[in-house]
Amino acid sequence: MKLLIEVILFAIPMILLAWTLPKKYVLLSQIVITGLFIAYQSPISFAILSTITFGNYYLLHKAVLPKPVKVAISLAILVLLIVSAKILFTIHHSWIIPLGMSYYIFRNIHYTVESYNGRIQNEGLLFYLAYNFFLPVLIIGPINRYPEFVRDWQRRRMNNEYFSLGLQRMLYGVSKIMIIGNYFLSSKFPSLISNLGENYVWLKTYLNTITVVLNAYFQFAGYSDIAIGISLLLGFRVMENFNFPFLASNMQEFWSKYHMSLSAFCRDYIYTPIASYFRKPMLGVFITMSIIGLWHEITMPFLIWGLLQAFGIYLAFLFKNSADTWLNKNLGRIFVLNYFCLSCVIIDYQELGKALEVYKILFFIP
Amino acid sequence: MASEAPSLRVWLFPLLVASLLVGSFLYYSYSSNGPYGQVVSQSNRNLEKALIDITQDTSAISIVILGSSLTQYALIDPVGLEDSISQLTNRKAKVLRVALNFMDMNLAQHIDFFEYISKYPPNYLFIENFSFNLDHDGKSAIPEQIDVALLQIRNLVRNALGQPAHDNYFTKWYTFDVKPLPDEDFYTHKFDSMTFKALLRSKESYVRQVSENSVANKAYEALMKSNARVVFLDMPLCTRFPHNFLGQQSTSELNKILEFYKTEYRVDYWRFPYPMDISYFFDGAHLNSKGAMQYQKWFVSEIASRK
Amino acid sequence: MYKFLATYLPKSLANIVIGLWYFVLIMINFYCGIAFAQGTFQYVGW
Repeated sequence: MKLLIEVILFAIPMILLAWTLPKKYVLLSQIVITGLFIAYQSPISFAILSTITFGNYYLLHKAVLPKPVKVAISLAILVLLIVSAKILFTIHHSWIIPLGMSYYIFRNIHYTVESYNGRIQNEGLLFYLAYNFFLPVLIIGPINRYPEFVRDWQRRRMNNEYFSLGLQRMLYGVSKIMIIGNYFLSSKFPSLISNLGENYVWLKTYLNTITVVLNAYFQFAGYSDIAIGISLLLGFRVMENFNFPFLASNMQEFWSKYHMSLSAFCRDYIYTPIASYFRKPMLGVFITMSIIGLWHEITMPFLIWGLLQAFGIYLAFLFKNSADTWLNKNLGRIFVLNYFCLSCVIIDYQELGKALEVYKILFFIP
Repeated sequence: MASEAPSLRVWLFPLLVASLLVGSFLYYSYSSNGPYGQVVSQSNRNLEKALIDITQDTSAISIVILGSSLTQYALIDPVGLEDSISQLTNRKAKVLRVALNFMDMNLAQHIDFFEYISKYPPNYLFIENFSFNLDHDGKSAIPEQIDVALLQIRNLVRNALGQPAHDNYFTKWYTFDVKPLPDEDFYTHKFDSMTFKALLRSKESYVRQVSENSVANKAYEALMKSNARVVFLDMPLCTRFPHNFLGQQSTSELNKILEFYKTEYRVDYWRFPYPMDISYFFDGAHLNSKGAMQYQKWFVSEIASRK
Repeated sequence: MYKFLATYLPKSLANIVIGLWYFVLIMINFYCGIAFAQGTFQYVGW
């Protein structure tokens, strides 16, 4: 909450300057304010992001090396950085992953790959800096794409509808966090659940499981809405991160609507290359979902969680020919909610032993 | 085709009106005639009156106890304390217990406690060690000014709807012998497992540095010169929690601070001598009536033996 | 929500309704924010 308030406080001058400064200084003002924010919150993250931005830019656009070599070095460094950070976090829980690192590493991997594909050619350093130092999406995404970012900048103009939409998104985002997440799902419902009698162990466990996952979803969706709202106020239309995922009727559809920026990234840069190379889509799914799990934390619970998501998608593939009736759709929605929430038990409790205890209660295993 | 959001001017009304309401509320909360201002002025009046009352008879032992709800429940009956101390010491005793929810150094300064206690020094001043020498995460994030105003509005609405009012713990700022209601967990011994579970997740306390307590230090000095005995009073917590929510390192830090106060201001430290089982608490931190009886017995015997 | 309102109501009425809706939502957010902050900390209050 404190971080959110600080983001909004830094965003206010950014928005004011975005529409009062001459256009040639606007990007610079955004870079400076974002830089100040991240330096204030996490000097380590500021140092890492600055090094990556300048280093990657000069490597990809100025270094005199064959293109594949440049891209290979860039990707190797980026992957090494994120894996090291995650491993350090796993080993020493007092080590906190530098602010936003998981997201800006992925953004830079995207930039590197698109440079290799020729979709990004000799772009100015300023645009690359502005892309990396973009406050709204810095901390928890969405993982916006570089070409869209530049296109939005080029088309940027005073747009009342964007402002109104931006304010609306921010209000809805705050409402998801405050009303649904904090008030109902973190306070009222847990209180109601704990007031159920001693005999309702299964019901209490089940409701707690659902509540925890829905709370995480609404909090994350709320922060994404705020990020999208602030971006709109700056004149940028950033990609959506959620599209009513719990209305999906199978796990494949769920993952096309849940944390969309991450799943789109993984689909484009992990799933598609693997599936096309090996001609085995399911292999692609299992590897991609494992990486999504490990992207959160490099631990066994998150790996198992990723594999469970992959298995859910596999089940969707098996049942893909079932009739698209009202009944099937709603049964599917119930399945998706329960499957996802139950799969999250393993990461909620962090220890496999404790998670197994909960599963025993939920599945009536003595 | 309709757009996804209305025109910008539609936002003028909700933002303006909301800002006006919130601004008015903040003005009401913080003004000296607002509910907080009224509570503080009543508190000042009553505190001064109470201190004069207990210190004017110099033949009686005057005892002031300052703490949080931990103290309130541990020493639930100031009148009972007076009787017990009189019996053991053959001297009249006058006890003033100032126990406010969420007590800390900041709150004590809200009610100008240290100014008044320096002006009217008692024979004994007991200060709850947990609230004054330690800081804790998870204290109320709402400023007192807003808290009082909200409570007042909430109770106005609840009364209008025919619902019972919420407990107004700000009455403890000016009424110093508040007792729990007969159906409260303190008496019924029903265990508040929700609070207990939340306490199990509590982070470690921080030890306050001496330099952070300048207002209190001045008062300790003044009291030392008046030959008042100042004592840091330890509150028992159930054995499931680390004592005072301190680790090994912070415990030795606290001991150094206590040693400093002993040397510099002759402030003693009394610790309840044995661990208390969870059945003596109604949430693991606050004593129930069974636990309070034990604590009071010990407290009284300590005063009698050390006088 | 505005899209839905503007489809079935005259624009001016839709604007009034959505304006009221925003106001109510802002006030509920304040209420929930304060209630959550108070509620959370009262559990561990002394």
